[in-house]
Order: sequence, then structure tokens, then C-alpha cells
Amino acid sequence: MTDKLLSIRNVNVSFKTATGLRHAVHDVSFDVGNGETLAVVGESGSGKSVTARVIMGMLAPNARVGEGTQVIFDGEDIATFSEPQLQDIRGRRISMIFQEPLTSLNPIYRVGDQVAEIIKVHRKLGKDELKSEVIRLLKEVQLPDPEARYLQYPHELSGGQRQRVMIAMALANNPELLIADEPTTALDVTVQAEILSLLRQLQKAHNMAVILITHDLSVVRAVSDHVVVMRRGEVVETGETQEVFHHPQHPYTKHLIASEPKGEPKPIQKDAPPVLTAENTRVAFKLKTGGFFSRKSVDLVAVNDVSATIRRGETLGVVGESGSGKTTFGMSIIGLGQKQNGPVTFQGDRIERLSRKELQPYRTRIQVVFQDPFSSLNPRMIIRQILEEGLIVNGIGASSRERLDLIKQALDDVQMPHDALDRFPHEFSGGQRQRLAIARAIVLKPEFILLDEPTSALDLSIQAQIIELLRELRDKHDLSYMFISHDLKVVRALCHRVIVMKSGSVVEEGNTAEVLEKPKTDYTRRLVRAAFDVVA
Amino acid sequence: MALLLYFVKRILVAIPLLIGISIVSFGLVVAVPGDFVDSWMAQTMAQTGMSAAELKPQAEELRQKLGLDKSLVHQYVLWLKGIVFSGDFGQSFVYSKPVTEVIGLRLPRTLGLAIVTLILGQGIGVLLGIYAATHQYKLGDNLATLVAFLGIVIPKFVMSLIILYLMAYVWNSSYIGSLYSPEFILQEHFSFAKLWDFFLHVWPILFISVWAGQAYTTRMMRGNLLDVMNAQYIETARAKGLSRRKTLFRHAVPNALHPVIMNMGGRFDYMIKGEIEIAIVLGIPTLGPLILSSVTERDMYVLSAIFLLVSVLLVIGNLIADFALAVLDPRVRRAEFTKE
Amino acid sequence: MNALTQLDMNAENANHVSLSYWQLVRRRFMANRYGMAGLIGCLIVLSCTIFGGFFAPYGAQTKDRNAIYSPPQLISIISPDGELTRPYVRGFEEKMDPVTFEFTFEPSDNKIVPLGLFVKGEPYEILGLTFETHLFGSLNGVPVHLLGTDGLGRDVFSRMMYGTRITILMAVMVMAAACVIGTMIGVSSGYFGGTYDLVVQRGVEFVKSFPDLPLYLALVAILPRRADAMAVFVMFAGILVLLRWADLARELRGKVVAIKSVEFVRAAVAVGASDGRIIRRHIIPNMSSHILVWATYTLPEIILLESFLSFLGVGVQLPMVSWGSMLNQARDIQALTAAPWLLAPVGMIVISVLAFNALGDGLRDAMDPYSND
Repeated sequence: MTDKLLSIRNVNVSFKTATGLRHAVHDVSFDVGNGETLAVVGESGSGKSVTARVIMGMLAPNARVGEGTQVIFDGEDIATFSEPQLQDIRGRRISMIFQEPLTSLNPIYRVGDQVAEIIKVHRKLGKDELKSEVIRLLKEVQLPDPEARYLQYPHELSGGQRQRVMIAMALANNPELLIADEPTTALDVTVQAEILSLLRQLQKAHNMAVILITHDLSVVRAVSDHVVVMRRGEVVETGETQEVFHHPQHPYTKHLIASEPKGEPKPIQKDAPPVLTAENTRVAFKLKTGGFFSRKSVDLVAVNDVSATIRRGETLGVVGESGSGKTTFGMSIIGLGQKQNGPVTFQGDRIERLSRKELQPYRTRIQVVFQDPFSSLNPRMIIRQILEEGLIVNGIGASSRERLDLIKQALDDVQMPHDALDRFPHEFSGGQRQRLAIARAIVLKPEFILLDEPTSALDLSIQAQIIELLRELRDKHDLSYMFISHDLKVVRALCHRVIVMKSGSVVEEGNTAEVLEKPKTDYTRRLVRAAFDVVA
Repeated sequence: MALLLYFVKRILVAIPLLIGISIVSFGLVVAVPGDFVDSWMAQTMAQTGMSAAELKPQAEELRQKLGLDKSLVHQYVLWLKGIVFSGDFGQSFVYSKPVTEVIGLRLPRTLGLAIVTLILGQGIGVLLGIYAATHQYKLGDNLATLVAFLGIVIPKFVMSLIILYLMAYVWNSSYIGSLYSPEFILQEHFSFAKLWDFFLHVWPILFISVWAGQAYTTRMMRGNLLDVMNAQYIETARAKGLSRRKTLFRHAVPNALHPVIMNMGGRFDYMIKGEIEIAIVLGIPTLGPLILSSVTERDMYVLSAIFLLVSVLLVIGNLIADFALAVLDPRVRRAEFTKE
Repeated sequence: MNALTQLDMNAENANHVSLSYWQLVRRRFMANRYGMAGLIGCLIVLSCTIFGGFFAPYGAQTKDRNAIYSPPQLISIISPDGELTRPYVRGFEEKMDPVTFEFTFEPSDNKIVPLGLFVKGEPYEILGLTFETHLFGSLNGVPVHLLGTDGLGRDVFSRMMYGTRITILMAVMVMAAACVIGTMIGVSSGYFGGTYDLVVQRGVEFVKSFPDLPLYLALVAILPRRADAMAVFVMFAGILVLLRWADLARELRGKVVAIKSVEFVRAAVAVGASDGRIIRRHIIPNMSSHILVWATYTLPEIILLESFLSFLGVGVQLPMVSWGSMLNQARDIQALTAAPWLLAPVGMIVISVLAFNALGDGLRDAMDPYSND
């Protein structure tokens, strides 16, 4: 027995699946002290979320907890507790918040009622008392206008606001332990920083212990006292956060820490000619508003008067929060999004007014890589068909043999084995799929590639590899990129210049190093702080 | 307010639909070669032995009176006017009575039976679905699934035939082909004895319709509930310390009901169809047998009136289902507004 | 590439046999016993459609005047003396009940009808070729009626086999036509959007607002009376198609709208693929599983509807035979009591509906093979 608030010992969990037993967590042990923050780090599938659910006693029905598993909470082994005993602890002494604020609130109940519910389960309060308690909580998590929020439905709140509601719920009964399962992953960077600092304040105010489950090392470094590194269901390293970061012991930890994107792009030639120029881009969506009788059509301006130039071999970063119009801007100038009328010059040709047919000759020269590697490859085609499509429709390669050679070259470029050709996308991991998506672009020998957040859906260590690959390809083929991202760390490693967008307009632009070191606007400063300091 | 606007909008959208339905109904009347006057002539000739030439002047007069000499559009307007302003659906030539009299009480009977079976079927389906989903792969689940499956697979008219056979020759039941036993037909006032007698006559309709009707609902509810139980907010509810039971009934079931309610309109159609199908076989005097006889005898005014009335009922049923959904789920109202 | 991740990758891909989507579907489907039973049932029903003439010992209209309402006969392989013998049935002796004056049929040991396989009999056609060999038949010329006969002395079993043809043909025709129309309209309106899409959506809503049974009956009423059976059959099928395409069109439209903005379709636009190619290579293949499931669920629905309408006598017309039109004879409660075996086609209806539904369930579960892997 320890005097810690929570000690888990020899946690083993396996799942019964159609293909047999699958071990998810293997002999995991760690401790959390009163008021302390423990970060559990690992990539997806490392068993960190399953471990959290063991503590809560909320595993899926097909899970089997191994013998000898102990979860000692405040001196009692709650792994042996009955369901009613656990119900009494859940929400009162141990609370939990989840990754997806979008789906973690029940869509059909008012926010206030959902917060009130957790209080009602554990405490007897009068109706008015209950309401004032809920409003106090909503105030405490710094939701603006809590009385109005009380009556709203979840879909009327933003992601950050919903996560605040979840936190209010978790705090409602002054728990001793809060388990936060990737609480900020689904949020915008700046919102992420706000939520983390809120959590930190509340933790101090309530003297709560926090188990923070995350895959993001910068979050770990910023908020945790101790860290547990997990990989494939096992703990590979534990220790004080500073210690682990400075002297990682296990190769996996070393690899994780080393995989943060580093370095800077090689400078380009001084006289490199411009490849793509966009001037005064303005994209507006027609939006019908008003009731049935007062219908009006309003222009929603998504991109307002944005200009950009990309020179040969150069990478331009376009950064901003979601909703800042960065993707809309990128897609519309290469003719894949909403039509717009600002002049766009590609290698001397004006392309902004061209129809889809007239754009055909430019398709091979301008390519794009999308954000989500899971949906960017057609699940019904083999890799060879996916890579070949662009060659076929553009009449490249006289025979299928010639085309196959080109495809193999592209696979070499993205460092994928040739036996990938006859496989289907679902057989590859996220990072591999993103390599294949890049190969689909590269095989056409483009001059310019639009990269739309190509790394944001990937695990951290994979991210770094993809950035490295993109750098190599750029140098090898003399490519120009427009790199759309919200992650300034990645931008620093890859981009020569950067433009910062906010609500459709450019608020700042310049050389990457300059903008990141001496941001001129508050907005950019916030983005920079969110990326490099995490807690504002 | 949003709710009210939503209602008004849904009702306005239904109007072109109703006009379309009325055009099709009218089309049924004019699509059959020979109009009402032709059948009138044939009938009179057969009864009185007069020749066509003798009847011609009278026929022309009748035509003018009924507006049958006008253009189709004009006729349609006259026809629609008659229905909307004076409930006049025309004349049944088989019964030589106004259509409204022929249809008379049959429509409310069909409607009433359909609503009762709808409510029972949906209620039983929802409960069985909840039971099956919470006992997945256990005996109860398999039994519920089997019952549901049989309800889908066995044709209703076959079940009716079997019950008819049993009633007529095995149980020697006298409750066949009517709504009341003779002693109750003339009894005007309500009594429980009369209600029980009514039930003894219509139970096969209730039994078959409810069995078949709950089948889809059970399957749908089971599937939905299993999906919803995987939702994040269910885990949230459990993390609050709610018991499994409370989590199920407060958080999972209301969300799983969503598609069931959305489908109510379609189920209503199914129940009306089922009532008609069973009543035809059993000869119970609701709309069913009347539809069949008007088809075989080409009593087009009756047929088109039934068709029009049932279609309108369905449109109304769908509207009610939409409204119920909007009341239950706040997202529905909003989505309707931002979409267009 | 980093050594550690290279290691992970190899571990992931090692001894992994590459399977296509449809191979995965097949593997999962084969593991589902219930779905496989459905598939076998469907194959049996479909084989009756093609080889009905071979399975049936007699023609659909052949009348046996000596056997009116003759009851079903049981095949036996134990002779009256208790010895094992070749399969036979016992013929009937007609007796008159002296009290009620009703005729009854008594199986008689004196009238043994030996059965044989591949017996020559009435000529029939399969796919335009004429054959005379039947699967089984009587060897001594005395007719055998396994499922009894109807009021005209026609063999119920043979008629049921021939009825399969019309019923399944109708179901497949209607399903195929509705499928093609629904897919074309649904995919095009979802893909191209705009005013066309709006019009289609309203149209679908319009079609779906009709109560289907009353509409079918009303349309049947306006079919010309004196048209021949074939023309009525085709028009009848047309009426059934009329309302069937709308559901599929609406479902597909929704799916296409969703898939249109998925990144692999946008990537295809980015490499310069034409609309036609995108629809053919990217959209339709991703819809195909949905269409297939829809088709297996739609077939039994049409079978049920056709059976009911023919049962009422307003569907398939004489001299065509379908399961439903055979049941029409059983509408007369006297006939049903005298000869309950007239209900035999119900068995076929239930089996086929059951089989197609089971197949549909199995397919639907197998169609999502990435979910549990």
C-alpha cells in the first residue's frame, strides 16, 4: 500500500474479438499523488484510454480484466467493487472528460440539465439551489453568460464551450481525481491552450489530482508533474516530467522526443522565379438567412482580398485557426474550390477563369495532398489503380508497362515497397497512406503541390517522418509547396515564408523565422504561444 | 418560435404535394374510357329497354349538368371545388349513391383500426427492441428476433386466410365478415358488451397488423439502440455515476427513438395497407373490400375518392411525425432553417 | 525512414494476404451460417425458375380428369409387405360416404404407382430448348400428384414450379428496372446537384407520398380489360416499378452527396478525371454494396405484393400461373376446406421471402468488412 491517492498495479486487460483474445493492456502500474498531474503519453492503440477506463470501472462488455489487477483508490481496491459501489464513486470522487466535445454531451437535453444531473445523482439539492449551483459551475469554467447557456442545447455551443461544460460537469461534486482523456485533441490550437490553462487553474483551486491522457508531448511538458510513457499496452518509462524529457531512457521515449519536428528549410535561390501568384483572392458563399417570410441572401465572405506568391523551390505556410479561410483560399486558387475572380498566375498563365475542361492541362502540374489519409484513397481500388488514374486520364505513358515504371519510381520517392501495388488502402497505416497520397501527386511530376494539413491527422512520430519526406521531395524535384496548417511547429520546420490568416483576411506575413520570433499581432502571438508554450 | 415557424413551413411545403395528389386522383377518373354518363346510359338501357338514341338528349343534358362537356382543366376545377367546398366526391354508379355515402363509415373504421394497430405495433416494437438490445445474443434476443422475422416474412393475406379457415371450420366462430353481431347492430348507445363484440369481430386485424407492424420497429429499435450505446455521451452518463438502467432510459432510449419516430409516417402507410389487405380477405366492412369491388367493377369515382382520402391522411400522418420529431429533438428544427 | 517505425510496419504487413473488398465480403459472408442458409434457399428458388419444367412432372395446364381435388401423396420406400422397395406412392380409391354423400379419397394398397428418376414425359422448354425428360415421374402411366390437384385436376406441384417462373420473373424484372432507374436518378441528382436535384427531390417526395396498395389497385383498374395476359403482365410490372425506384433514389442521393466531398473523390478531380469517370470508377463502386443489399430486400417485397394482387385476381392474368394466382382458388372458403393443399404455394412464398431476407441480412452484415478487423 502506498499513501498515494491512486495506485494501480499489474493492470491487465484483454478484449474478446472475433479473431480471438487481444491483449490491450499488459501489467501496467503507476501512482498518482494528491493534487498531482500525471500525464499518460502514447500513440493511438497504446492502451492509455483502456487503462483510464479500468480506473473508472467502465470497460466495454467484451473486455476481460486480468487477475491480480489492483486499482487502489484512497486505500481501497476499487477493482473489486460492485457496480453500485462504483456508481457512487464515479462522478463524485473520480470524474472523467473525453476527447470529443461534439459527441460527449447528449444532443437532446439542455446543457444546464445535463450538468444538474451529475449533482442530482450524488447530492440532494432543492430545485433553486440546484440551478444556482449549476450556474455557479458554468461561471467557474468561464463560460460567458451562464444563465443563457443553461437553457441552450449542445449543438448551439462551440467545441471549446462544450468542453468547458464537460469540465463543469466533472467538477460538480469536487472530485479528488479527474481523468482527462485527450481533452484538447479535437480543439483548435488556441482553444486548446485556453482549456489547458483552465484545467490547471481549477486543479489548483480544488486541489485535485489529474490524469491527463494525451499523445501531444508539448502538452505533457507544459502541464504534468509526472509522466508515464506507454507503448503497445505496456509502460516503457515513468518518471518526473523534466527528468524524462532531459534524460529519456527507453528508445521509444527517445524516439518520441526526437520526433518533434525540427530544423529549418534550406534557403532558396535569390532569383528563383515565381511559380504561382494569387492576387486579391475573394471567396464568398451565398447564404440564405431569415425566416420563411423574410428570406434574404447574404454573402458570407470566407476569404477576403488575400494575395500570395510562391517561388520555385519555396514553401509558403498558410496558418490560422479553423474557420480562418486558409483551406478555402488554397483550394479556390487552384480551381478545386469555390470559384473566385482574383487573378491567379501559374507559370505565366492566367488560370482563375478557366473551366474544369480548360484546367485539364494544368492538373498534372498542380497537385494536392489532403488532410485525412483515411478518406483520401478510394477503398475499392488497389494502390496501383489509385496511382495510375492520374496517368491514364492525362494520357501519360504509352503502355501500362511504362505507367508501371512511373508508379514504381513514385513509390521509391515516398519510400514505400513495390509490393504495395496490389494491396488495398485499408491494409496500410495512417502514415503509409499519407505517403501513398503523396505518391499519387508525385507520379504526375507536378511543379506545385498544395498540402492541406497533411500531418494533422497523424501521430506525432509519423508527422516528423512525413515532414522529412516532404523536405526531401522538395529538394529532389525542385517543388514548390503551399502548406496549410494550424501547427506552427511544423510550419517552422518546413516553410520559408508564412502568411497568417484570421476570419478570411491576412493579419501578418513575412519570413517564417521573423513572424514566429517577433509576432506583430496579438492573434499571431497567441498562435505562437499555443504551439510552443501550450499554456497561455 | 422556431418550432412554430417550422410547423408553418412544413405545412406550406405539403400544399403542392396535396395538389399533385388531387391531380392524380382526378386522372384516375378520366383515365378509364367512358364517363359517368356512359355508364348511366348503359344502366338505364338495361333497366328500361330504351335505345341509345332515345336516351341521347337526356344524356346530353346530364353531361352539361355535370360539366362533362367542358375541358379537362375545367372539369378538374369543378371536381376539386365540389370536394373542397361541399364534400362532393361524385356519384358511385354501382351503388347509384353519392360516393360519400358509399364510403361513409368505412373510412373512419379503417383509420381507427390503423391508428390503434400503429400505436400497439410501435409500442410493442419499441419495448421488444429495447429488450433485445439489452440482452444481445441471449435467448430473449433470439426469440424477439425470430418473432420479428416471422412477422416480416409471412404474408398478411396468408395469415388472414389461415385465421379465416380456423374461425370458420375449427372454432366455428360466428364473428366473420362483419363488425357487430346482429343483436348489437341496432343498439345505438355505447356499452362494454358492444365493444367486446366489436373486438371479437376485428381481433384478427389487430393481431396480424400488430404482429407484422412491430417486426420492423423491433429490428430498427434494436439496431439503433445498439448503435447509440456506443455513443460518447452514454459513456459520459456512466461517468457521472448513473446506473445502467438510468443511462439506458434517460440517455440511450430517447436518442434511439429518433429514427423510429421519423419513420412513423411510413409505418402509418404500412398499417393502412395492412388493414386493407386483411379486411379484404376477412370481408370486414372497412375500406378494403370496397376498394377491391370498385377496382373489379371500375367504380372510378369511389376508387379515386378513397385514393385521395387515404393519400391526404398519409400526408397528414407524415406531418404529425415530423412535428413530433421536432418537439423531441431540438436539432431538427434548426437544421431545417440553416439548410436553405 | 526510422528503424523503429520500419520495424512496426513490417510487423503489421508481415504474412498479410492481400484481399480485395469483395473477397473480404465473401469471407465474412461465408462465415455467417444464417446468411449462407439464405443464399442456398435463394439458389433453390432461382433454380426452380429456370428448371421448373424439369422438376415438374406435368405441364401447368395439364388436367387429370380422374383426379379432381385429389389429396397429396406421400412417397414411401417400404412396401405394404414391410420390405424395402423402390419409391412409390399409393393411388386413391374414391368412396362415397353413405351418410353425407361426400366423396372421400382413400389411399389404396392395390394401386401402387412406382416412381422413377429421369422419366420421359410432356415436352417443356428451358431457355428455348425443348426437353422431354423430367426429374421424376410415374413408371406405370398412372399420374402422380405429390401435392394433390386443384378443382380442374391440375397438378399443384407442377403448377407451383411453373408459378415460380412468373413470380420470380416479375420480381426480378421489377427490381432490375427500379434499380436502374433509382440508381441513375439518385446518383445523378446527388452528384450534379442544383435545380435538377431539387426537382428530383420533390419528385421523389411526391411519389413517396402515395399510399402504395391503393395506388396499385387504382392503376390496375385503369388497365385495359381486353389486353392479353402478357401485356397485362408487363403493365403490371410497370406499375410496381413506378413506386419502387423512389426509395433507392433517395438513399443513393444522400450517400452520393456525402461521398462527393470525401477526399478521394476530390483527389480524382485534382488529377483531372472527368465526371463520367468519377461516377463510374469512384462513386458507383462505393454504392454497389448498398444497391445489392437494397435489391435483396426489394425482391421479397415485390413477391409479397405480386402474390397478394394475384391472389385477389387483379394481378397476373390467366393463363399465366404465379403463386399468388394459384392461391386465388383458395379464396373460396369452400374450396379451401375441401382441399387445404391449395395453400401449398404459401410454402414457396414464405421460403423465398425468408431466404431473400436472410441473404439480405447476411450481406448487410458482411458489407462492412473493415469494421471489425
